Amino acid sequence: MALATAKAEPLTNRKLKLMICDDSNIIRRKIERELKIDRLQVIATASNGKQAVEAFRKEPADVVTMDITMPEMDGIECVENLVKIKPDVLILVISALSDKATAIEALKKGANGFLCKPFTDRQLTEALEELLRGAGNVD
Amino acid sequence: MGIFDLGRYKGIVLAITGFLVFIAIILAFNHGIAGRFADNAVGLQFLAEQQARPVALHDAGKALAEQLKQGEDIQQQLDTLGQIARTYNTALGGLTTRGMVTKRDGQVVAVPALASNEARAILDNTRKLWDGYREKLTPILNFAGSPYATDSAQQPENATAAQKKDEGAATPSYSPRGRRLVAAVDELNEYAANAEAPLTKAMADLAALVEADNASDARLLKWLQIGGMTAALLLLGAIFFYFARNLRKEEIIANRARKETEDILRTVNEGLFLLDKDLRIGSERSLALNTIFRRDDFTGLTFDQLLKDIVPEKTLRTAMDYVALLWGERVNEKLVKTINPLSEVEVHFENPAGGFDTHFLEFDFNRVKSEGSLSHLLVTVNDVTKRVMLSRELQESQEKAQAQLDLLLRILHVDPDSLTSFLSDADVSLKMVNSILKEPAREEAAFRAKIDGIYRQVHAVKGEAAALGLKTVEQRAHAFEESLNDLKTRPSLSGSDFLPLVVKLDELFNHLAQVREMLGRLVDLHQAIATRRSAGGQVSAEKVDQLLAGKHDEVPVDPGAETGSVEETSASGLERTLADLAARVANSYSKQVTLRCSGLENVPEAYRRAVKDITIQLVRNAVVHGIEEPSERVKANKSEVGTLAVEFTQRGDGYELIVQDDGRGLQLERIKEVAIERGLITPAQAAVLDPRQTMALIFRPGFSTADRVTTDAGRGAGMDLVRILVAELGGRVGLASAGGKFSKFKIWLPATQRAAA
Repeated sequence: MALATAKAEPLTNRKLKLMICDDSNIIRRKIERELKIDRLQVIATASNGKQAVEAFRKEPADVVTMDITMPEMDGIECVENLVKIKPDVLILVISALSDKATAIEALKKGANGFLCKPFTDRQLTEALEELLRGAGNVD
Repeated sequence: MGIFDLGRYKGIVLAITGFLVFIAIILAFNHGIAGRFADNAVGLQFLAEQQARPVALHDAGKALAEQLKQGEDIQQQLDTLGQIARTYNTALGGLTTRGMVTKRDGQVVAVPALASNEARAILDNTRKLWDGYREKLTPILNFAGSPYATDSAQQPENATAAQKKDEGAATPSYSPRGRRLVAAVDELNEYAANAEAPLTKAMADLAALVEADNASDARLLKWLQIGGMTAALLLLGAIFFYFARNLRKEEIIANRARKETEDILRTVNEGLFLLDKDLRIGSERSLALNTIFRRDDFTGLTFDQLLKDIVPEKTLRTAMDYVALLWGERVNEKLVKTINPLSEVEVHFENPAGGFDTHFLEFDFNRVKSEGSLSHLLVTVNDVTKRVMLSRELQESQEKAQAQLDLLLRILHVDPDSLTSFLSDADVSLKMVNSILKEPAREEAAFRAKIDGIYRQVHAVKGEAAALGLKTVEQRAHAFEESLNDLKTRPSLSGSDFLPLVVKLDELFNHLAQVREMLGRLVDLHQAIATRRSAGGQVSAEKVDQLLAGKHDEVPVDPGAETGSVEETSASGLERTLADLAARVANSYSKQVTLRCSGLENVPEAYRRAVKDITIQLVRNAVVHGIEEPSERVKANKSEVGTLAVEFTQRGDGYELIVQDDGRGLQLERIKEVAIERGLITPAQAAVLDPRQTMALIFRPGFSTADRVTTDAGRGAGMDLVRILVAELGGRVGLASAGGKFSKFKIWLPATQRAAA
């Protein structure tokens, strides 16, 4: 089972792979540019949920930043798919705070945290660090 | 927790272990002594046996002697003697070496009492006696064969001799060895007779020693038992005391902790409670919850039940989803705080009056972990109504300030005269609306007529505001219109349907007042700057700000200016307004007019506003309706330019305001027609009206003679408004007119004190 293989793979001291999913080119670049965590390495970016799932199948990331409203496949469905492929993936939902219920829906599907748009680079870094700390990957 | 990690039970375990060890020592000691009793019993039995031995030995000796005398076979008796002697010898040997005795089953037991010095002395004596005994015994026991003479003739006789013994037979004949044996036996018996008693007594003495030892052991045992029991009781008592004290101490600490917790929960201002896995509220909770949730029945209540009556269904569902997420291990608690749907939630409590009280509550959730796993959610609740209200007020006032700024910028772009004119027109329109609203009406048709009347006024205001770009005014007028449209579509109307309009009207009034005030400030500022410039000075930015903020009185605009000049400024302001108005209206009607004003500077402060409104109406009215077009004037032999006069004078105990024009005068027939058209009178009534009554018609609400609705007339506001304003001040309106010559409005106003009263 996927769960077993995932558990067998300790994330502790190696570089972690990051995938960025957002339909906005600006936000994708903003995240890439402002990422200040050495251990995270961007391996893929996706502008819709479908792309994200395909990229994730080829090479599963350890950490994913996820927009909610995207064409083709929205963030909620995408989260559901990614977690099916790799149950221990860490997903940070990045979205506007207009509808809390939708964000909660994404978390119910398996996302781990939420960051409110718009965000500063500091907020992004803190949220990702907290995400990793919560999963026991950073001391 | 390891098995040897006793924690708080360390004390009791050590105490019980100590107690058991003590009991074990006592028992072992007891057991030792009890063993000695058994050994002593064996010893006593053994001694009793040995006590009998010397007698048996003596008896055996004597029997041997008798057999020898009788010439009987002695071999058996010799064996008996030897056996007894050997047994006795062995016993004595054992006793002398450390008081060893041999039990019947052959087991050897050491009796300590027999190893004592006293016993040893007795045994030494016995040994000596026995050694003498043994000397006598040795030759006898070494004897073998027959002691009797060995000739064959004698042999049968031997047998008969035995028979002869009973008949008092003669002494048998011995062999030489036999004779020596007889002598030895006699010697032995003699010794035995002497030794028998001391030997017996020695054993009895030894037995006495063992018994004495037994008695002392029994005493020791008794004391040991008493001592052991006493010690055990004392130890138990001590343990009980120690534990009772510890228990009490712990109880005190626990009580104190409980009390502190209670104090905290009773005093803390926040609502605090724990939620378990079933989302049930825990028993420990802060008293503030009662106030926050207006209830005290929290026992057994679930979170869902707590919220369901006070928040909307959707919020409740989202909240329950959120709490369920927190129970899951997957989400990061810190990273979901921002989407807490209850972080500032609007709740509604039913109040006794039957309505609802709205509050804002702030919920915060924290995971409580014990032994590594999630055991509870700690929920903190605060009533943040004041904070939310304050921030909303702040936001509102910011929005208002922004709107004012926008308005100000807008006003700066509007031509001041147009704005002034608009403001006075709008004011008149709204007053008209007010008077329409106040009109008594009962029937549906009257209500509909009211709506139409109001609609026309508001719509005009909206159109003008839009034309000037006064968005804020336009928006409010539009909202008013919408309300009217809403009323229009209703199947039936009642008086109360008009109540909301009063509020809307008030809003518009206030807003226009704001615009007017702002305009006033701008004018003041403008003048201040002009004055400064002419005085060669500069107005500082600070003063400009003050002027804009309305602190007009505190700013010394012109040090040389008298109070009167300020009055004059506003009087000349009105003059200018009227002149502008007359020129503008005349221009739009292609008429020519000159305006002459006098005495307006004497209008008392209290009347300034009303006089302004009245004169604006009358001047506009005169230009539109009174003054003829130039060609018509020429035909009537008048100057092309019409003349308008506005005079304000003090008269007796009041004031008089006269507005006169040299126009065509009131056209009575036309007035009647219009009044019939408007449904104010019937044709029959019109027929009987005298000129005075006809003229009065123009003051009726809804009367308007202009054929088209324009900014300046036709909205039926003018004369009605004048009547209302004058009536409000307690004055009177007089009207004189001569066809083709003039119209003259004469308004009397009471002295201001009366007006104020």
